[in-house]
Amino acid sequence: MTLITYILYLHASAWITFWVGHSLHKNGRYFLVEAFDNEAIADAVNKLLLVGFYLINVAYTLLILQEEYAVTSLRGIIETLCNKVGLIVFVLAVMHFFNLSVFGVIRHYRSREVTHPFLKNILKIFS
Amino acid sequence: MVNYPVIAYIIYLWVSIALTLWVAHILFKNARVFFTDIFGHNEELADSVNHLLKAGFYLVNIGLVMYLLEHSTTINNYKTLLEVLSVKVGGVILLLGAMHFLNVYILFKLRRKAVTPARPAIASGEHPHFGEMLKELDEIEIEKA
Repeated sequence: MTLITYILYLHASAWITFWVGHSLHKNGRYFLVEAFDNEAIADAVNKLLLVGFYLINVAYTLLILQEEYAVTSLRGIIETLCNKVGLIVFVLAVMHFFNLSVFGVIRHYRSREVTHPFLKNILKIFS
Repeated sequence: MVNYPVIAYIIYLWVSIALTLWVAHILFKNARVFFTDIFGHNEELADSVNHLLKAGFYLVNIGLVMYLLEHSTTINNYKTLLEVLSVKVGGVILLLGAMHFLNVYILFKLRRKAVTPARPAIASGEHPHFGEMLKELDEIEIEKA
């Protein structure tokens, strides 16, 4: 039963990783083009983000694979599976919104002169 | 023998995910017009941001729905099944409502910021009434900093 859970879990995670990554890669391209005002850079950043996304996701999936308690029933399979996959999906959401806010900030301040010292340093890090 | 807990989980997942998809569909179908306003009628950017936020909405909601699936009540008849299910689905609907209003609030706020006409005369300090006042405010802020 535990083995079945692991197999289902890996299957579900791989599918989610691929699907979400693909969708964000496709829809995020224009957002990045706007943020950097440069298609070549935007495409490169897009590709790099996709690879980073796959790496973090696969690593996290494998790290939280192990289940402490023995899974003995269908109920156990559903509980364990949903718990783990739900956690992964939620972490993905947090990462996604962090990325969006970073590129939103870059887009917002690209054409403006920034005088505030703290903001200036932050922008230096991200641009 | 009926496996009540599994039935409860399947119904819960099905209803919650269907509700999430439905709310996201309604919300982002109508958010598009806000985004075109916010981004100065740049339709392509509006669509892009709309899709990205929709993906985020799905991820948050489906993630939480799955993570909070487990319950400890022993279910052995349809009465308990119904009770547990209604508490669970109620919680999910509250979550969806909260996310929905948060989104609507953000949309309104962004739109107001984008639609309000710029005030170059005031900003540059040349406005007859507000110029002096703004300069003073700037000085106060500089002193504070």
